[in-house]
Amino acid sequence: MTTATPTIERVEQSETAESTQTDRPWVTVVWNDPVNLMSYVTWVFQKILGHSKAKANRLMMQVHTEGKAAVSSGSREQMERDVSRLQASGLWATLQRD
Amino acid sequence: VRVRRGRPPRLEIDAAEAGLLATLARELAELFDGGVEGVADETDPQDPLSALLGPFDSGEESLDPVIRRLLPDAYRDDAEAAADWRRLGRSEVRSVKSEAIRLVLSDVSDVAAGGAVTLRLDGDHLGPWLAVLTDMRLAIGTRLDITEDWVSDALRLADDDPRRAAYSVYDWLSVLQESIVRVA
Repeated sequence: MTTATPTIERVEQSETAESTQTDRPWVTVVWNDPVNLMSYVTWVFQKILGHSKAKANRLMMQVHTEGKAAVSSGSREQMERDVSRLQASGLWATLQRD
Repeated sequence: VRVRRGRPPRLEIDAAEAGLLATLARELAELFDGGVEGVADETDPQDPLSALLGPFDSGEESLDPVIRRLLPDAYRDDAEAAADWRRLGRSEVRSVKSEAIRLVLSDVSDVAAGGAVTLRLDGDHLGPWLAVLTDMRLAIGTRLDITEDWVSDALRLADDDPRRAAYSVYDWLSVLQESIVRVA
């Protein structure tokens, strides 16, 4: 019984932490292309953006099936840095106001 | 090429494969230098790989679809911000890509000189290698106007169609990259 509790607490804490960050007016968007490998896109989301493997894989699938996905959010300067690093890795990344 | 799991992952590569990668890396480097700084570069008509990757249009906003894919606009709906990006952000992306190409070129040049060799793709080589393989595939794929269903497109080509060589190189690069990602 007690073993499941810490996991539940951690999830609740991480959701609270995300919802309290209000100053996130820009997003980085990654667009689908016919060349990039699904495995590589997942790897880049982990390495460049620091996402967990599960989140990286979910975002990769969203790009693949919906044509695009918002992969990070923050200040304009932070998003230009993410776009720069994602483009340097060969992904088709842009930024826009959220 | 054989990719071996481990820390770091290892790439067993022979002189012919190293030579192909070196040629593609040089084509890519020329594409970046000329495409952004406006220095037109002649492609060698005798070199089929040169025909795959070049020529490109010079100018601030490139008309070349390959340049536009390798160094895309960062803003889609804001012309002024897009122009600012092309002046500042794009050159930063280009310099990171050029640095990665130099690193790969240096790795494969050693192999081309000495026959079959094992390359260790440790921390600061892995990312640049995967990025350069991606750019090679993007350049060839954009020239071929490739789709996700490219295998059936390639199978429909006549035996003497010059694009068969490009598809074959594209396929080889794709398998190589996938193999490296799997052990990364």
